[in-house]
Amino acid sequence: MNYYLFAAYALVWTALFIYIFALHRKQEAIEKKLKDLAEK
Amino acid sequence: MSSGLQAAIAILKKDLLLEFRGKEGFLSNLFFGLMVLLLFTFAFDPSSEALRQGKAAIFWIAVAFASVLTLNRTFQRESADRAIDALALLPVDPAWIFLGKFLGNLALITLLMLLIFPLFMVFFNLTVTSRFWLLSAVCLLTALGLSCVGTLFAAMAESSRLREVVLSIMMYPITIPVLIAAVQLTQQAIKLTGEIENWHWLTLLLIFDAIFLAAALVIFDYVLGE
Amino acid sequence: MRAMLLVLLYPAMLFALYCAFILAPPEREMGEVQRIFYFHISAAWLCMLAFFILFLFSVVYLLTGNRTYDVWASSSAEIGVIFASLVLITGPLWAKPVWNTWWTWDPRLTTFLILWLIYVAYLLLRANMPESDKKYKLSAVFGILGFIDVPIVFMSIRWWRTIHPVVITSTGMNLDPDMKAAMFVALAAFTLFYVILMLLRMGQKKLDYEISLRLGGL
Repeated sequence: MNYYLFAAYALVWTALFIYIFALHRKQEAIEKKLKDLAEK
Repeated sequence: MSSGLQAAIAILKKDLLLEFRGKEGFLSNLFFGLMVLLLFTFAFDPSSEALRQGKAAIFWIAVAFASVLTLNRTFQRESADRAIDALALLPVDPAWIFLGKFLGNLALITLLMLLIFPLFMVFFNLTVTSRFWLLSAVCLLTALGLSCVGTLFAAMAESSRLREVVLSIMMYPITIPVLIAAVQLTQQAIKLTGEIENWHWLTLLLIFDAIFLAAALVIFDYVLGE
Repeated sequence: MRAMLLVLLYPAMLFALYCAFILAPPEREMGEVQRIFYFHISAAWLCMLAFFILFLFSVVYLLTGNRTYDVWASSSAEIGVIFASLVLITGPLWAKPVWNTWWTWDPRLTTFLILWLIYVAYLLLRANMPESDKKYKLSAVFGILGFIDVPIVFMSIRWWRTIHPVVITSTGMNLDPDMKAAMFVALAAFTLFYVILMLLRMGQKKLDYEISLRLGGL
């Protein structure tokens, strides 16, 4: 039973983590864009 | 007399004069308070035990609602012609401006309590007893706490959108200790028999008032002006 | 640095879940439902941390007037409110099977609820103000006053409740070593989570500010 629960929560956490990681990637992209713009 | 004190007195006089001349604002608040009192009486069965025990709470809820409306007007008056900027330019410590505004609100809220109380007495069948002085002390200390926090927050809410809502959202959670203490003490004060217990609530009221009055006087400098 | 911490966070939280669900033994009296504690307490700890940092940086902002500190304070407030909501959700979930009630007006619970209300008010105040130095100043003032208010609220609720019989008293638990380990792992993972969320949110606010500057300059 606990293994199922662990697996379920691990799945939830993975989904949440992917979301946060995507946010991080997006932010990095914008940071880079702004930097390029500042150099121009 | 120091110029700061003069400024505070001038602000106090001006606010009270404005309230006295334009009675409709204060009267509307008073009526709102009485309405709340009445609505709560209809929420309970008149002879029920719940009503007997909840009397004090009903009075304080009515006062709390009515006083927020009063507090809302404190700085609304000033923002009309951007008079607030002129106030901020006064060459005195902003704490004095706070003091003037705060004393005005204290007077108005005390008056609200004084006017709501007789009706409360009639509807809930209270008898005037020797504990009247305790009741007066509680009312004064609670009015002090409410108007101190309220004046500061009204100044803050003035520069936000939806200022009425913002003021109540900020004020109620912070003043919960005051309201609990007021209800507890009032329950003691309107009882006819039995010992008065829970004196520590008076201490709590005093501590709250002292802390927030000191904090407001120090911090008002940041609230006023740009 | 953010990327590195993120890579660290994923296994850390998985490990915390593993410890909570599998490593730690079930509690003798409460049974399996006690496992929610590892996350409930961690979230509560994060709230305290977040609100303390909010208070600290509010004071620093008022003293220095440097906008960066407002970014620290407001980011911390947002994260703190999220975790406070988590505490308020996980608490009743645990209380219903164990205390047989969703909620009691116990001092700690009530104070926490009011704490939550105060910081939601902080966020609402911010949301209702146009972007300006005034907004930062006023929210710093509210952040400080809210923090000062919390001990007074706690005191008053404790007195308020002693008038009525106390139904539930909290007793100290003798923790099994595995339970202790699970608790520490969860606390560490959540703290790391907080640090990362802070970095992300502060980065976002900085970007927001830079972009608005750029747009204003055009």
